[in-house]
Amino acid sequence: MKTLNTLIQGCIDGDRHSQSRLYDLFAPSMFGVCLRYAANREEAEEILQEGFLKAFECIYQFRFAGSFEGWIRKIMVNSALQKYRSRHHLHAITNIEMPDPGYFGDEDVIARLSVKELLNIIQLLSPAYRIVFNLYVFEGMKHKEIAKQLGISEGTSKSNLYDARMILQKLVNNNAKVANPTPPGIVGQSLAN
Amino acid sequence: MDENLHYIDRLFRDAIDDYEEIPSLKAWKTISDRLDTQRAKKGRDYNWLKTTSSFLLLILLGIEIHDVQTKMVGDKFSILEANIYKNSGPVNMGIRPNDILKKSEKNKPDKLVSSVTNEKWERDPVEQRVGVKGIMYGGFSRNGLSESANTVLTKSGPLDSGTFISLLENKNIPAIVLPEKKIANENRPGNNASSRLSMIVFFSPDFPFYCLQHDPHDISGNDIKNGEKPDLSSTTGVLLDYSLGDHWSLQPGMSYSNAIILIDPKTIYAEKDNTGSVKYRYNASSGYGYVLPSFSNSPSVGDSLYAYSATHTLRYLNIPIAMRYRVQKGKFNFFASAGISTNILLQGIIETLVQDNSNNEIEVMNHLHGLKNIYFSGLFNIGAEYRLNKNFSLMAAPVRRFALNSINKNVSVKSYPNSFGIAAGIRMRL
Repeated sequence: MKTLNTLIQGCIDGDRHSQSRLYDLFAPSMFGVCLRYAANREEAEEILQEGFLKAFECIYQFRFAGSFEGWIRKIMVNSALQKYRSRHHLHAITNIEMPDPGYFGDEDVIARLSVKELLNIIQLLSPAYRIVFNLYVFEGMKHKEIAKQLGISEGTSKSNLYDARMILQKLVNNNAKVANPTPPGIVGQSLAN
Repeated sequence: MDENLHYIDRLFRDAIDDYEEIPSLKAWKTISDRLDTQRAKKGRDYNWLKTTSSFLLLILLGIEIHDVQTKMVGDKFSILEANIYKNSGPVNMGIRPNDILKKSEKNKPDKLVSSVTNEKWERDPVEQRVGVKGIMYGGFSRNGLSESANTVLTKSGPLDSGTFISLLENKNIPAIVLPEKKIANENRPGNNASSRLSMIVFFSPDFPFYCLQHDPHDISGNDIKNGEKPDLSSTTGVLLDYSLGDHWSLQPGMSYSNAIILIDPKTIYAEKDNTGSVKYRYNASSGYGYVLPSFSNSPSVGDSLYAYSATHTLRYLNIPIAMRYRVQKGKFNFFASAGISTNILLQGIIETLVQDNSNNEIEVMNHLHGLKNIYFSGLFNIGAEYRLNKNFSLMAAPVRRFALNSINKNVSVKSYPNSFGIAAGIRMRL
């Protein structure tokens, strides 16, 4: 802990060696977070870079109370939201024609899906679905908070989450059944322009 | 179905939540490069001020050098002029026109031809005397020398440039050439080189008010804002006033300011400082300090002490530079000036009395975290001067000072000191 505090203090002082070490320490876990919010690895790296730059810029605001990992993770999530705010409309999603996924497959089969495959499945979602799903499932946010964060209505947030789950369920089933599934392209990409 | 959907949540959360992957090496390189760029940009933010200050100083230096040189030329001329008045008549009466003409044929430089106008030379004896526009000194005709020159020239016909140069080179006729600019300057009131520079010594009692910016949801920020009251402050210093013309002048200078802020009593809590040791943290609008009283030298995080009313003192060395515009009405000079000031922190301290249940101790925090060493401010004033005599004037001017950037960094509250003062002083002509 003392080492981490020393590193943080070094970053506050603008010491590049401390910044590099802090990056090495947190980059892998933060990259995992960014991959969930991004459509691909390149986008995830962009989010990671923006997040770390923001973190180094504002690190003096960290008060050495609470988890630093939690603090930096929040910055990564905000960077991801910022990225998609500037690129996409996150509001209405309409005309989704998804077949009923039916019964969710055998849990043992699903369990055999690798983490990478599950991550790829999330990345297949449209940005609006992906972000709402991430905020609800991984960040533990309520629909009210998500709505406020994204500037959408609670109803839209609920609807997006429902649709995201349906799509994921279908994709998981397909992936579980097919040994080498070919991604069908971005699903649910019918955002209002 | 709902159960299935929730299973989806759990499936993904359990599998991916702690997922880690190493990003490419390029990611850190990009971050590092951008950090370098940001650092360079921050440097540039201050560089413009350094560049502007250097530029202004160079201009001032250039003007001063030019002024000194002009003054030296003026002094030389005065000596020559005295010789003219003293020796002109008798000496020049001895010059013969033929001598001058002989010399002129040998010596015909081209470079001054354009300066010589001799078309009217024969027609008008008066114009002959001033025929060399802007070169021949106007006062020349007031004495006997002009007559002697006439005597020399009237029979020679149109004067060519070589003849004129010969006239100037003839030791019997003292040099009477002045730069055009010098003549122009002589005729301009108040432009004597020696009177351009003056010094103003001033004192200004100031009424400070601080603009504090903080997150409205930050309780500690609200406490700081409500618990601090600026006390009477003062600024004293010296300004040099360098006249750039009839109305404009440049005012660089140096001053010392002393600001006092009174802080209400409050409870302070122990927490880890940046080195990891636990001390009592005292927050103020400009920064924060740590105290460790002898009666409580090993506190635990969260322990508290009561701090009585505190005095927070900020002392700065100010380096202002301003442009002033003045209008003269009789013995009064009315002026307005605006400029910027670089403020260098000399001292930032907080003094308070801390107490627990049975002990108390005076604590002085000499090192405040978050307080910047330099900040910049703008200044504006309108005032008047009353001329006592040729060299001294009394000055009074309300002054408004306002911070251009905050005096602190890396703290939850950003503080922008502003003040309104009434400067009174005396101007001495150098």
